Amino acid sequence: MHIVIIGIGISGASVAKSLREHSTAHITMVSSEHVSFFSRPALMYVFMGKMRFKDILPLPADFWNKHRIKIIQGHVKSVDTQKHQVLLENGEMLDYDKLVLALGSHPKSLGLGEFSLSGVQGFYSLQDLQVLQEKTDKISHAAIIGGGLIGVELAEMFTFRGIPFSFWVREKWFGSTFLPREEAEIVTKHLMDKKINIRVEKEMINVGSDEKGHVSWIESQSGEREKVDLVCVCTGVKPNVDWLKSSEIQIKDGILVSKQLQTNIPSIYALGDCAEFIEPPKGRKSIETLWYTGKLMGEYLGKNMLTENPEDYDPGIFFNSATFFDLEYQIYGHVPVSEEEMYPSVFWKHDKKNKSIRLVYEARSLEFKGCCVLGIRFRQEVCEKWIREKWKISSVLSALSEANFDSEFSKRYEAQLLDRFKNSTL
Amino acid sequence: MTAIFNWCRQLWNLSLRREKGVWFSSLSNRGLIGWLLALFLTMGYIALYFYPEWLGLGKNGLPNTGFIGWFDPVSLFFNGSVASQWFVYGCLYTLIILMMGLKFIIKYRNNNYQVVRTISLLFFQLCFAFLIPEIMASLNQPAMDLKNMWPLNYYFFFDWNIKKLLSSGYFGIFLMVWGLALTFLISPVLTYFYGKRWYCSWVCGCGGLAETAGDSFRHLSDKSDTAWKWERRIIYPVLLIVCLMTLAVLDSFFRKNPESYWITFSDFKIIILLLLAGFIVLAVWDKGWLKGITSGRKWLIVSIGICLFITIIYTWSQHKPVLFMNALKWREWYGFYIGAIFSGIIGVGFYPLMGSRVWCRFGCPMAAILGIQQRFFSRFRITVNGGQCISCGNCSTYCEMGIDVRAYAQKGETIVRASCVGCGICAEVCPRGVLKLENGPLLVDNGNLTF
Repeated sequence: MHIVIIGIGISGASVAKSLREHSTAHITMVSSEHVSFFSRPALMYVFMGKMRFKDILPLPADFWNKHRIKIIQGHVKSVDTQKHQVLLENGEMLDYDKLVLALGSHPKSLGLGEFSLSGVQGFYSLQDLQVLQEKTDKISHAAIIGGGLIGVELAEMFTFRGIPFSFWVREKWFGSTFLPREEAEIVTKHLMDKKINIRVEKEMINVGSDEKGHVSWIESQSGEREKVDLVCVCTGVKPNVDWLKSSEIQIKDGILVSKQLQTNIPSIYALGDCAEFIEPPKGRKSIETLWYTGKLMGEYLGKNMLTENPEDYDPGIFFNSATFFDLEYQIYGHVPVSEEEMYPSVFWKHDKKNKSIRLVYEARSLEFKGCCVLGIRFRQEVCEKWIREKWKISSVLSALSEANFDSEFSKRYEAQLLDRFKNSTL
Repeated sequence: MTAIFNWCRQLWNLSLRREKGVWFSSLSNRGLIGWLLALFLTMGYIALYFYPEWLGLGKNGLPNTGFIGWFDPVSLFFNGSVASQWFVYGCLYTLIILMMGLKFIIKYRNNNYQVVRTISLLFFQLCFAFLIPEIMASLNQPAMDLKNMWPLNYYFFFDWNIKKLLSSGYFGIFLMVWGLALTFLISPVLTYFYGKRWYCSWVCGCGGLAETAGDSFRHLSDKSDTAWKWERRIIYPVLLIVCLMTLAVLDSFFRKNPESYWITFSDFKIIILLLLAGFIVLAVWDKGWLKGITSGRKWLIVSIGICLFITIIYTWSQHKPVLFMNALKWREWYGFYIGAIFSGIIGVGFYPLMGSRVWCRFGCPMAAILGIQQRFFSRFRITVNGGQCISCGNCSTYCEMGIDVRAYAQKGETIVRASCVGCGICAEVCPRGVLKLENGPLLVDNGNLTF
């Protein structure tokens, strides 16, 4: 049995690791980005000098050899689903019995042809980092387009390295597409406290270059132009599947997969950023581009791929976390971004510091549905238990201190929160 | 005034930026400045230990000059005599911990654990290591650092120290009892509840310097498995040697004072040999072996091996001095190689090259004892918050003890390691808040033991 895995990101590496735990099959991994698995969210720390590239490799150098996983650095050109072959750009052919596509994604273009200009890039791959590192000393003014997590990472990186930049966010508040309103306000305020040149309600609608094809200005929807020599576009990512469109593998936005992560061709599987569920798990999106999802899918696939009757992929209770500069954010379960009548919440926010707790429950049953915290850490197991066991919001409130995961001697805020809600009828 | 203001502002800015960019700075990435600093520190220690006259110490009754001479007024104020090189060393050591400790507190001011812990370190250094011994000396009492316990304080059981304490009346007896209680009662109890951190990163002077002055070098510790192997190969033998040396010294002391000899020569040898065997096992300890040892057969082999070893050496050494070497020689040897070269010259001099905890990690016998207890008999552990690790590596990079924290965190495994000093920096640098130092009771949930 020969299993070929294309892509060595968190999804691909997790499949390989987990496969090796459950089988003795030959495993070959192909990647054009790098010969070893590195932590993508940690690329920013390499740019900041907090870590060297070798520090962001999560597995020891001899891991792959030791576990008999072969790694080929090369770019896959096409997949022949009939002959069960993968063709590499250098002409090499790989025969497979099972093929795993962990292709990841790439920065989405705004449709202005901006990526064809030099000086316009995303911040996603190792190559993006290398380009950025080469330019660092020459940048006189940069622009970050898009108020997502990569945007705020770039803002932190540029601030640290002393690169002047402006941060264009389409919405009225930073993060309002993935944070509830109050949290988005707190985070925006936090960014402003850090003296980030954050420009809200600004969209890039045009971009211009000098005679050498290097970006020189960008224009917003109000016609305002800004002189720049670097533009980082981070308005989202898109599955890395264009090159597969001529194959027999079914593709919509991503590679269409069943509940067992199988594509329309039985010996081919897809997972991570590039996979799109035909029927997504309950309460989930059809494409989920999260580190944790990639890891969970990888662990699932490695365990179930070679079994006779695989169980369905179950991502469990949703969780995610992020950091906006030094402000930590965690979310467990269901927290609606816009205000929904069905899901009211208990919300507490610190008077001065950037800290908040939100506990979401269902209006009629008063069942606890999820929570999100800013500047405070909650314990995942405890939150999951409350959600899984359908605790009432009142019981959650009285047991709130169990969830705290802040470091010792940290100030506790449960009492303040309870105080604020003691007269309500929850 | 402006200069001070600017300095404060720089410090403030630095603290806002945390520990970023350490790999860009020549001081902290083993660049030229780092090597120069290492050279300077190493030379400083060599001068202090072996050539104090270079620093201006007056020998044969001559007055102090130069650097040491500057400290004469301070020394005269505290204890009425001119400064010795050790007094100067104590002053500088305390001053550096205070200054760098202040910087550390400002830098990590958002984390109360770091603030409280550092205040504790500063307090113990200033009061216990510096002021109280000076006050004791000025009252003509034996001076002792009340927190410096055996075996880190390897001369506690030396004959001159015992004699000094026993001849100083009730106060001396109190110090003797205190020292014994610290090692054999207080320390095990505290380590059970809080892990070795109560000492290594809250109280200890070596730890104090490493945490404050060494903070900019913590990422330089080697994280490889090979380094971990050498850690075990060196630290347990050092512990063994300090035990043997202490027993040898005690033995010769008791033999010279037979009236206080409450233990026989043969008893001594048995204890020594048992220790020897135990530590050899610990030193060659291997994780694979550890798993196998519970199977039964290996237990048998190990036990028979130990018994044979003890019998052979015991019979052979019937009439030889304990450890076949003069106790005085042992003492000199330990003081020179371990006390001066390892803990001083290498331990501090190599900060900019091998990180701030070289001595604590590879050499300190106290850390070895506390570590064994922490590994097998303590509530302290670092817990991981579910599946939230993004494998970024900040925790491992900034672990001064060279523990590959990420290897545990990305699997969601609770971390219980002998070497962890509980500084809490892994939890502080984690961008997702995944780690937490804990020492609460272990809970039994549905019959499964969980943390």
